[in-house]
Parts: sequence; C-alpha cells; structure tokens
Amino acid sequence: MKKTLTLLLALTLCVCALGTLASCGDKNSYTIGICQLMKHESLDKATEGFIKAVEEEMEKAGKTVTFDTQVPGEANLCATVIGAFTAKNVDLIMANATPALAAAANATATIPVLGTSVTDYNDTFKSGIPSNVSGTSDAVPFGDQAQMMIDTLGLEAGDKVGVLYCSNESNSAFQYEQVKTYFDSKGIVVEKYTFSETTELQTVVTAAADACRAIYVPSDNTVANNDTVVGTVCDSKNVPVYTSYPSAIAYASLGIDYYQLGYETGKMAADILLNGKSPADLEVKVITPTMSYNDELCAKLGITVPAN
Amino acid sequence: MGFLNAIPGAVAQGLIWGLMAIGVYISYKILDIADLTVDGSICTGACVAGVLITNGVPAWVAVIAAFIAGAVAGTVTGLLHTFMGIPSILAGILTQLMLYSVNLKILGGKSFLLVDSRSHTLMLNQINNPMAILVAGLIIAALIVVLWLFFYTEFGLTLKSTGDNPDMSRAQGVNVNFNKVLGLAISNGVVALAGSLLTQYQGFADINMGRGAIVIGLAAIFIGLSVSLKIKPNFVVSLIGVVGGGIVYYLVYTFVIILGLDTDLLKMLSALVVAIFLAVPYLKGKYFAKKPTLEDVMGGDSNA
Repeated sequence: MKKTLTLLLALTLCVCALGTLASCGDKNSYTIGICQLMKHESLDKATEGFIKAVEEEMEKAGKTVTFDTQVPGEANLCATVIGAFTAKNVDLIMANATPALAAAANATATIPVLGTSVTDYNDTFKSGIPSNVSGTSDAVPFGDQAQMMIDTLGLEAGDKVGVLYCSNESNSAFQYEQVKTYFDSKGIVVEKYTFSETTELQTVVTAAADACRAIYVPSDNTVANNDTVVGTVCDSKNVPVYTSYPSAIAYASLGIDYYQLGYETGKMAADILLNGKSPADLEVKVITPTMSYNDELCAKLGITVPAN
Repeated sequence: MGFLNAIPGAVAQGLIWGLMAIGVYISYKILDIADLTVDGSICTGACVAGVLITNGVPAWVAVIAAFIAGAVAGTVTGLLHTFMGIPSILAGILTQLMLYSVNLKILGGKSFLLVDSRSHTLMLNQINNPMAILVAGLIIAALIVVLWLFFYTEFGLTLKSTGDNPDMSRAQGVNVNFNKVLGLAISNGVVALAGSLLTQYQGFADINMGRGAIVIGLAAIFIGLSVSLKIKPNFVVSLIGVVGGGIVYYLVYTFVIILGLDTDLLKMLSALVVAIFLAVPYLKGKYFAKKPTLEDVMGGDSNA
C-alpha cells in the first residue's frame, strides 16, 4: 500500500512538473478556459464562433493561444471545471450559458470572464455585474417579437397567447415575463405552458393549442430539440407558432445566429487579452436578430407576410 | 502544478458532497432503505438557503432552515412508506417528483438563482477554498459528533436495530414505523444541509442541482467504506470514511479535467473508479487470500 502510494505521488509530481514547464511562457501565448454548460447545437456554435474569432485575432497579432474546452453537462460540475481553470490560472474564462457564467463569476474576481448564450446579465446579477465580467447576450427585442405577432395575426385585446417553455431552463422564464409585459400593455391575455420533461411536452402543447390563438416559444433549448412535436400538434389545430430561434416549424421567427454571437464574444476576448481592456470597460453586446417567415405555413393560415 | 493548485477546490467540494453522503449513509446503511428522495432534498436545501440568503437572512439561519426543510421532505417519504404502505423506493421517487414542483415554487417560478458572495456574507465560497475547507470540515466534525452521540443513546440504538432487523425490533417493542420516519427525516435533513452549503460554495441554486445526487452519495459511501472498514469498522470511522470517499471522488473528477481528457468520458471514468474501489477488496479476498489448510479447518488437536 505504502509503495503504491509513493509511486502514485511521484507520478503526479512528474505530470505537474511537465505541466509547469509547458506553461512557463511569456505573454506571447495565452490560455483560455471555455466552460460550455452542455452539448447543444446553439451552444456548440457559439463556442465555435468564439474560438474562430480569437484564433484570427491572435494570428494577426502574432501570438498563440490554447483553448481548454470543457463541457461538464450539468450545473453542479461547472464549479469543478471552473475550479480547474482557476487552479491553472488561465488568462480568460469563456462561460457558455448562465450556470457556467454564475460559477465563473463566483469563483474568481481577477480572471476576466466573458459570458455568452446568456439572456440578461442584469437579471442574473441582481446586485450588479461584477467588474471582471462581461459578454454577449442572446436576447431578442421582445417588444418587436410581440408586435410582429400582433401585426400579422391581427390580435386584439382579449385574445389569448400561450408561451411554451421548459421549467428547467434558466433563461426561459425571464423571456416569458418580458413578452408578457408587452402583451399585457395591449390587453392581450398571456398564459404560460410549462413542462419539465420532454414526455410531458405533447400534453402541454395540446392544451396550449386548444386554448390559445397563437403560441410563442422563447429561445428554449429543450423545446428547440423537440419542436417537431410542437409543429405537428399546432399544425393540426391551425394554431400558428412564433419562435425566438430559427426553426422549421415556426410561422415566423425572430432569431439570432449563435455562431455570430460566439464570434462577437471572441472579438471581445481578444480586445481584453491583446489591448489590455478590462471587462468593466466593455458593455454587454447584443447582436441584431434576423426575422424570417415561413411562406408556406403563413399562406396556409392566410397570414400576410409583411413585404420587408 | 495545475493539479496541485486544484486540490483545495476538489477537497472543498468533496467535503460538501461527503456531507451529503453521510445523509445517504444514514438512510442506506443504517436504515437499510434506498432513499431516492435525496435527489430532491439536496435541491430543496439549496433553494431554501439561496432564497433566504438573497433576502438578507444570515447564512447560518438559512442553513438551519434548509436542514428543517430537508427533514420535512424526509418525513413525507417516511409517511408515504409507513402510513400509506408504499414501498420505500417508490415513496422516495414520489417525494422527489413532488419536490421538483416545490423547489420551483421556492425559486419563484425561475429555474436559477444567483447567490452573490459579494453582496451577502456566506459561510463558505469557492473564491476562498482553504476557508471553505475549514468551515465545511468544522460542520462535518460537529455533525459526526452529534450523530455519534445520538446513535448511541438508547433511542438511537433502536434506530440502528430497525434497519438491522425490523421484525426482531418490533418484537422487542420498538416502534419501527416511527423510527423509519425519524431516520428518513434526519437523513434528508443532513442532505439538505449539504445542499445549503453547496449553493453558498458555488454561488447559485439551480433546479437541476439534485439530478444524480444519490449516485454520488452511494459512490462516496462505497469508496470510503472499502478503505475505512479495513482500518476500523466502527461508526465514527465509517462516517469519516464516507466523507473521504466524497473527497476521492472529486479528486478524480478534477484530475480528469486538469489532464485534459475528454469530459464526455467523465461519468464513465468516475464509474470505473468506484468499480475499482469495490472490486479490489473482493478480488483480493477471492484470489489472493491464504488458502485455509486442513489444520485451520479442523482446529488442530487442542480438544481431541
């Protein structure tokens, strides 16, 4: 037992020594830790865009950068991953999704932290965004989205709109509240339809489609992964679906390109590392969403697609 | 170098999950009930503590409140099992399902709550790992002392006997049903306590925090006991062993992450570690133990 213990310790020390030698560089090479909450199409694209942008900027400046990309898969492990990053003293942490961002902001007050795929920073950090935190937001202008629905469907006061989202998702409830505020001001009744497991989705969508004139889906990853169910149910009941992410089932969608979002975050990272800016100097960025209409579906319900 | 720096963080997290494993130990080893409520009660503890702290309540009060909330959850499972006759595993699952909705309501309909260490005084936090280790260590030490004193009172011993042999205990006049409910309440209270520490450590409470918690608890128990039972098979050493199991589990996690191995393999690697810890003593006993000789079996010629 003693011998194996000694051997194990010796081995660990060797690995660590090698690690030190490798990182013993000057500021011509940077390490960036990327904590992506889980494997998901939008999050994957954001990470891709981020890496691309940073690599491009680093190449222009003649420096090298190594990325340590970790996908913990659940919120609890974010603290472990971020702990590893702070132990390695990375130069910057990119946190992809809200729990990752919270874990990063909690664990360090010195390492710059850039968030992405987070909807609202002020809602997340109720006591103010920490000085070492900034990033990009995937929020879409909810007022525009609501107005688009009102205009195309001719919604009037008293009409009912259903908001469908998964109760597990950190950003969805916030988007529901934003959209609700806008609709409330026009006298339109908004009802939320939430589910926690994908097995419940069909029942919930059916109930929503039966009761509402239109359904709105915020940028909710769980619904996005299973939206064919939503499309089938709503089509059969002739209820139009509007989404805040690009989707095949949506009659109209206001969405952002996550690769672009990650790319902008990457440019911010390069700004911090190469130009000495601090996250406190950088405002949280949003990118312009694109509006797209599904002509076929709209024609089916007699919805006129605005000519822009 | 990176790994050495990461050890304090791993130890701190291991201590918190080790505390959770103590709760699972009470229900699983002492009461002999596979209690799945813990996936829900650890989240309940986190949510209750998170909401109280962000509303200005002192952290130590929030932690006690979390314990009470967990005890209530455990009581519900206990009553479902004893009063309504539902098998214990199902009772645990039902309470866990109920707790999902309860936790959502505690969080005010949101699925996420930030507990900001800069604006509230927390008992422990990831930004200061040595302090976190000290605080968690003290809480665990105090809890082990309390549990040790409790389980060696006459009443506490009846709790142990309930798990050991419920029929015999009943024959001896022990109220087995009451003991099961109380045991589950204590167990889930401890788990919720761990949840309240976890939320302060990582700075947020999330509705999905509990998923798979029972697996980590059981892994910590098996890893810890496989070592501590060799040292001394008594109550206090077992509890310390369980906490040690939690620390080992998180050291493995951190090691895998620092090594840069594919995090997709994280869960598989941790499962393999648990399997190795369980298999080594068994294999040693089976293939490497001294084969008993005829004299050992027959007992020699002392009593011809």
